Amino acid sequence: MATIRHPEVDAVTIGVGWTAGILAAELTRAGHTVVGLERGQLRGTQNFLNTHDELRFAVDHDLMQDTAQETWTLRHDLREPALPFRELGAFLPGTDLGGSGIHWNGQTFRFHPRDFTIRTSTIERYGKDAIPPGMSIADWGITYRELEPYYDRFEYMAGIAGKAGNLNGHIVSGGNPFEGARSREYPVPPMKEAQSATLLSAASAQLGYHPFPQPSANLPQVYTNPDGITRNGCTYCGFCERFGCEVGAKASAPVTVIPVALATGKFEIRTGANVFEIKHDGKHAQSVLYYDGQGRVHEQPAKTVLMTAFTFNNTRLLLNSKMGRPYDPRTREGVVGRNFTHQIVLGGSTFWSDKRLNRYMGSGANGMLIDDFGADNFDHHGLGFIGGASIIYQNTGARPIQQTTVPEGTPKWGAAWKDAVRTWYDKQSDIVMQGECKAYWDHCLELDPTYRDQYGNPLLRITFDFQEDDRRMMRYISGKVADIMRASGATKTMLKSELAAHYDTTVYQTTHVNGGTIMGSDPHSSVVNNWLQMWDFENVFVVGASNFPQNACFNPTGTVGALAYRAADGLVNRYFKKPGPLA
Amino acid sequence: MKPVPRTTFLRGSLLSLAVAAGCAPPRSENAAMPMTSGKRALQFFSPQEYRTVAALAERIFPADANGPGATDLHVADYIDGRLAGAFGWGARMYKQGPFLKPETSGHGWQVPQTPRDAYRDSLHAIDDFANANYGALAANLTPDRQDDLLRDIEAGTPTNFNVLEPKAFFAFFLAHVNEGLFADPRYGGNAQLAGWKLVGFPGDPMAYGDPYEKLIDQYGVPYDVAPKGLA
Repeated sequence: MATIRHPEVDAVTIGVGWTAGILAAELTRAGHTVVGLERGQLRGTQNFLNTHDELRFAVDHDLMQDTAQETWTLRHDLREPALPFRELGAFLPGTDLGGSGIHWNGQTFRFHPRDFTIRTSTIERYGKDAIPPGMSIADWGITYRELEPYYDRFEYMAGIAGKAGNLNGHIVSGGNPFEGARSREYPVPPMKEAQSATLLSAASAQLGYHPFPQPSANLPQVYTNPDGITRNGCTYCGFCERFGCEVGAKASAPVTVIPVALATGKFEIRTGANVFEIKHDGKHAQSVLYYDGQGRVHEQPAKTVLMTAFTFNNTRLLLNSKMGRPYDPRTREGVVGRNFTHQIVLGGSTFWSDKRLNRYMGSGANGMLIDDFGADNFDHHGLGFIGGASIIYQNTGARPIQQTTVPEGTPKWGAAWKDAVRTWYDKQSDIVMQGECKAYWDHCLELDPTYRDQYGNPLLRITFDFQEDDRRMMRYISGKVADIMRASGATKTMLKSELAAHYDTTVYQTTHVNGGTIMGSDPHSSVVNNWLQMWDFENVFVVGASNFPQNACFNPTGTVGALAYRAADGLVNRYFKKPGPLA
Repeated sequence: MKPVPRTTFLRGSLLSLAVAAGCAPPRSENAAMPMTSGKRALQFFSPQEYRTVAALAERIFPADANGPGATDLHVADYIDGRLAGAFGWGARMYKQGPFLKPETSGHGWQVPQTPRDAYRDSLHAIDDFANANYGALAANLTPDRQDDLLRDIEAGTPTNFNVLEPKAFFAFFLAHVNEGLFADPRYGGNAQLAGWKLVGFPGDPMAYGDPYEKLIDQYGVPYDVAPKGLA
């Protein structure tokens, strides 16, 4: 069948979610033409009118990738045969316009200054031997200070609600004292606190820790951003996580940056466009090839190719297009696919016999947390691990199928289970430990030799498992959580302090998967430079959590957004003015 | 509980085949055992399969002093509808082979059959196992024996399951009972919203137009309303 060829544009994005939306808004406002290729369909606030349906959205993953069409394979080590994820579980990538940035919770952080220099900082404080031989943690090739203006851009665009803890180097009470210096206060004050979160934050404060409000992309009040986009305040309906927001209070690309790009008349979104290959001459990308909704092949030439898909697909498309040097975990040579990480997560609940918490009133980023045991915010000498976890008292809702826990020792079924569910449903506060995920030489993304997608192209193979460092970290952190639970005076508790025997494809961790196209300052060990430009293809920019050399103890979207603004700055103010390597 | 002799399995399997071929099962059934819901036409289960699911779901969530049980909430009807639709067919499951037995835990569903296949196989295996070990079909046992039977499945004791391991089926079943208790009533379970009433979930936050944004910081003031679903 003949390929349908389109006229050349300045930039083509592969996928249209947060990163593509930000890039399209910035590029089109500077006068450039952009085509966004979205393999899903259009959707927006009007699609979420009957959204309060836990079965359809949370259990059946209505807004998420269809694994019948395309999935991943997993092996726990280099020796084990990889098996496909036959259904979603451990992570939940979105599909359709806006991607995963539709069903996210809106928890929006900046990573710590130390996170960007984790390797150097760890060696400086603890010596070379503190990094186990299998661990491949790397500096990002960019500092927090360099990224700060872009964080600020993202937060003001999205209307992040929060309280600064460090303004230009001065510690401010009520915020996170461990954060990097901010150039100004959050654009919107924090959300209202749910009672369940206050009970545990009070206990934390009593122990001398530093609780602060969850930074939120769910607006507590009407907000007009610097682009002139006005959004509604949150209704605290408790249906963010896995759901679309029917009032537009939750920031997402379709309610913020995409309308800005479309208003220029220079941004075209094509839906049902599934990119399967980038054409190139070994030094420059020339065009992208995609299937349309009828299975026909189209070719879209572009001066620049912006890889803005979900983490996995950025890596997979480079490998399937034979671009960059594929990573080989046995020789540790090559770069594309290295340093795959996820998030190390455990949790628990406290139960209060004398409280009614109305915990179904909440939002995806409605809670308090402490960072006293995050990153390198505490002394690790003698602990046998590096890194840490944020400890979150969150009130994302009380959906009865998935968000009801029962005290430790309750049977899993029968009259005693029923009684516990009835008794404790609205008397519990949830704690999440969101741990760093460190990179290892063996943990990587490669093309699977066996399993294929609906078009016959190889799936991505993940090699990943929990490591001893992760186990020690979570035992230590959960010990601190146990202290907080005791101090809280809760009637009963439930706490998981041990990771499973193996990483489990069926157990939701988070959708924070990272790496594969990591950034850095050295072409031998990274895929993109600190403008997110590929070292090997100067007109290809890869933007997303696939750039993270490893994961921090916070949600990734704030950093993903900052990186997108960074790439946009590089393209608009440097690359388009004088094409060539930016670093 | 005694291990089941191998001959029993053979007999059980042949019985299952006989049932599948349309012959009446040559076992006594307790006529006093009522058909539980029977209010709507079954979409997937045979009447006997439905009886098994309803009986076991009732033991997972029994009617008691705390309120109605799984039977009253139409949990088996919910599961019937679920298996008749996209979920039952594994519509969003990746179904390409090869199908390998995992070497380690954590790989989830790795069999070529669909959820409805898994149910059909498991329910027949459960009845065969119940018949062999407790002398009656699962639905005809006393509640205490049904609990014993569930504990056997939960512990992975039966060896006559052909699709999912008993432990995996048990987890699958628990998840579906939970959904049938607490999903929006438009899916056929949670009848009279009894699941939500039991715990105090108000249902669709838009139902009453009450501003949660003004209520969330009113600590200690319970929001008690009759729950409403989307329908």
